[in-house]
Amino acid sequence: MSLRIHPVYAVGLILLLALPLVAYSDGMKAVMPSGLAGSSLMHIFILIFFFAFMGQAWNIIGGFAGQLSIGHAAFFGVGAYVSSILYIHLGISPWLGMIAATGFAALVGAGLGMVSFHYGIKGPFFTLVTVAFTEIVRLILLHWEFVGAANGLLLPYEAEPTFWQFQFTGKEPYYYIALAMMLGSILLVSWIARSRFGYYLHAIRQDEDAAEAVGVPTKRAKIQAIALSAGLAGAGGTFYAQYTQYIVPDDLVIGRISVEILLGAVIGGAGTVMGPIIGAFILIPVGEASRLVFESGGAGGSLTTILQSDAGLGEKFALYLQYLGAGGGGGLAIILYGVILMMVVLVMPGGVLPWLRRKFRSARA
Amino acid sequence: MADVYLQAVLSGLMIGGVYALVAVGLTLIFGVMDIINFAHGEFLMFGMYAAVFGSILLGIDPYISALICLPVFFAIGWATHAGLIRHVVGKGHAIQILLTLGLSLTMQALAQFLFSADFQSLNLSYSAATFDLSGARVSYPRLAAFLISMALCAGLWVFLQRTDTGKALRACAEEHEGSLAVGIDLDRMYKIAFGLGIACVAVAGVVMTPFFYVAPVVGPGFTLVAFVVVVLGGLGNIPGAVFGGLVIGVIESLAALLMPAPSLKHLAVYVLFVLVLLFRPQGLFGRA
Repeated sequence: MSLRIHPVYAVGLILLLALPLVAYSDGMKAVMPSGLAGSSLMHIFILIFFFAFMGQAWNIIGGFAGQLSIGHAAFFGVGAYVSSILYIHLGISPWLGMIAATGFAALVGAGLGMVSFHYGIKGPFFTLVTVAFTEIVRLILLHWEFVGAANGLLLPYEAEPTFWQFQFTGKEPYYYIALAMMLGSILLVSWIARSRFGYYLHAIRQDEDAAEAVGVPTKRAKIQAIALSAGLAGAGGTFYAQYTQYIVPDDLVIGRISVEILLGAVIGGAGTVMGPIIGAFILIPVGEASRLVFESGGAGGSLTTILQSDAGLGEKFALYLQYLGAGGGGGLAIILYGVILMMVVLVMPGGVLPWLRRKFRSARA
Repeated sequence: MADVYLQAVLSGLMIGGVYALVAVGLTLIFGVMDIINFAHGEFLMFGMYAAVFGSILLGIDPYISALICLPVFFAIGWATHAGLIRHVVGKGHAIQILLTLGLSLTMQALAQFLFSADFQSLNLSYSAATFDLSGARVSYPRLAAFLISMALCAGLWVFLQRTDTGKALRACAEEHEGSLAVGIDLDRMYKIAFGLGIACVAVAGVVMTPFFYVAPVVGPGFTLVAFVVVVLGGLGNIPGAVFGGLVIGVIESLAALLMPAPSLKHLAVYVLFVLVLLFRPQGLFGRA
């Protein structure tokens, strides 16, 4: 198998590998706006790699197999909990925990797939099952004392962490781990895309009944796809738990996270190898930029205070406009995400990457 | 002891009536347009905010707001179809889900921007008013929400059965090409269906404000409950949705009593949902 890498991607990769070496330099601080150098710059890239990886995980079942899941937050959350529990209670290194998280999340995914696909649930009904499943997992975690219930789990802080503890004092190790995970997911998916399994998934996505008729083992392929996809999402969960050191059901296993996972893949191009990566590189910077430009985190005071003040209606309205001017209650980054998603769906239904490819091809012809 | 169960069943029926109205809107949109609206709960949330701010700032009683919201949200639904949904009618379900998901995300974040993430609730003179019904306490605002919701469901049913527009809507639900052939303006029917569906769910939000808080995040929970109800009653089936709404309301209310923690009541509903999807995807009354 020859791996041909587009020169744009090769240059990008070299730049990414070198970034931590210059991120903290004075030059970077001089060039980048308002404090976007050093560790905050590293943080943004870690987020990009992380969401690229998660989007790529989703891409296997949601993109290649065409089974729209809005439930990957469940697999992600399961993975985060498995490695964290193993570390807190048994002292097992989160690196091994990550393997366990991958395996357990893959089992959960396979179970969900077996039940759903055995009973012939497809299309929007599969989507609804994944949504309901996420809520079920969240409610169980919220009420299970052993895993911290609503308080979640706080990973023990190590003053001088070792490599095996998967804790680091600076951001660079997380940066390279996330980058490696993203690259690994790209390699895996580009291999899938060219394998027999990948062609099965492609056939299922195009026309499941036709695929079944020509002898594609559709049910088995879909179960394998969701298991693989869920397993990767579980590994992402371990990374997230180690990076943030704190997991709580309402932050992890919630519809908003499922949507953020699929957002990058859908915008970049679901069912393409580089789509989720492109999507993450578009979305995260747009989101962070809008946070920098618009949001001062509700600096306009509290809306409730304005409502309950004794001011007259006109005065309240003026205060309210002031409040909106100061960024309102926040959320502008998510408004952009939503608008971008709607625009991509309406204007370039396959995603940005296939759209760009068509543009270039027609420009050449 | 029996009183506790009577109480639970009564409270369940009350909230179930509101669920029915939410679900009727969803099932009407699905039946006529074959569109799955993931932003359904967000329209409910905006209906609630309209009522809450109308009451706090302008002193408009929520029940007056309901009358105002009915035409206003019909127009909003009409415009949403004209501007967005129209482009994905007849396309794959995945595209439709992603578009309405984008709409839901945008509306939630817009609500956070406009109204902040704070929870808002109304404290009206009659918010806590109750009367006694053979040992169980019935809350007046909950009863009002139930009665208004049921009246609207019945009104919608009569509209669909008796008026020309209603019959045209039902024709669209049965057969798209056939209705086109007999001269029905499909695009206009879709706008009406989406407008009606959104008006229903918004008013359901409004009549809940005397006893239910509002925050930008309340939408998805109601969307999911509406899907449960709609699947239970059979997709596109309006009497099924009303019955399904009442059933889910009662199950949820009894589960709150029987489960180890009251907040686990939704667990019973979601598990039931998955079971219905697995074993009777056509709903309890659907044709196989």
